[in-house]
Amino acid sequence: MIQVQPALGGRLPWALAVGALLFVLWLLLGGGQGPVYGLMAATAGAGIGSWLAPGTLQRLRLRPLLRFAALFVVRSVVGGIDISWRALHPAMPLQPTWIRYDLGLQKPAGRALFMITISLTPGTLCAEQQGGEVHVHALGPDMERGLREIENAIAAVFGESPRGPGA
Amino acid sequence: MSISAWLAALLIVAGTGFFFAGTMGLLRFPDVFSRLHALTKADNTGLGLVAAGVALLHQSWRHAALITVIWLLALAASSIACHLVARDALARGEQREEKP
Amino acid sequence: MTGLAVLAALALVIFFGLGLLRIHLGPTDADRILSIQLSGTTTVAILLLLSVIVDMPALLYVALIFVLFAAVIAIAFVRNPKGGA
Repeated sequence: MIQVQPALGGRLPWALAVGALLFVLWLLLGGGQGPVYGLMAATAGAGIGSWLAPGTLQRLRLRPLLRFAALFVVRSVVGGIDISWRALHPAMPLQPTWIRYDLGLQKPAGRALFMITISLTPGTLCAEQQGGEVHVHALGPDMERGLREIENAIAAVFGESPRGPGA
Repeated sequence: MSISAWLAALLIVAGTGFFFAGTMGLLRFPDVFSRLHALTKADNTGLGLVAAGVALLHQSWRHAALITVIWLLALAASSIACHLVARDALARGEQREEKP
Repeated sequence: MTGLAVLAALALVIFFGLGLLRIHLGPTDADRILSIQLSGTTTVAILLLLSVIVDMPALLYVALIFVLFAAVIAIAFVRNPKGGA
């Protein structure tokens, strides 16, 4: 609120993006009916949204985004198969461990995406995040490699440099 | 049946299987964190497959897009819910350790 | 095709019912809320199947509402200071 200058700079593009998203959603839900009302509602929504909760638009890179989406779909199906195998196996092969994962991503949007993603990929679950440290519950040993892979994919989407194997 | 109908049938059956595994995990796993794993992963894979099958059967781009929105929202909601419940359980668990 | 969807939906109802046992078993309230989460996801899948079975696309909107509710449940649970074991 106090940082007037950057907020003003980012507010109009943010409003336009929110408005466009709301309008597309209107067309999708209404089957293309009442576009004029949709335009009015989207304008109002964009105005209120950028007034009450303005965000900053992130520059996303298309090719890494598609690569991340593909990785996500594959890994979440693998995650489903992995957990199903553990659940249906008579001996229930579980070796629950806690991992303190050092997160290199800086942007909050990237961190949020990372936390959402790792709970859906094989064997890992995000329990707590404090700054750059994520508390991960894992169902077996050697889960860090998968986490690192996702972190690097997200870093590429947001144009951050991937980190090497660190602490 | 057409190829897309066969594919849809396959997707729906596979998805139902994941729901079964999710329920089994919820009932069999020994602690709350492992159960969380079972729920978020198995159920969302199941929902994704069922949603893909249903989208094929609707044969309408608008319905397919709507189903995609439902699926993405379900993914985000379930993952965030999983994180919140895990954090809550972790905080309570640590409290319990402090007071033996 | 409809027959298969009906069978799948019935199977989901059964898994849903089995999952509800976790509410009885507990032991913590977090376990119980998991059962509710499971029922939310399963309900969405059942609604999607029903939209094919009775050929009523409007049920997709019901599924959308259910997804939005499912997110609120967990937040309400975590926010409740009296929740937990």
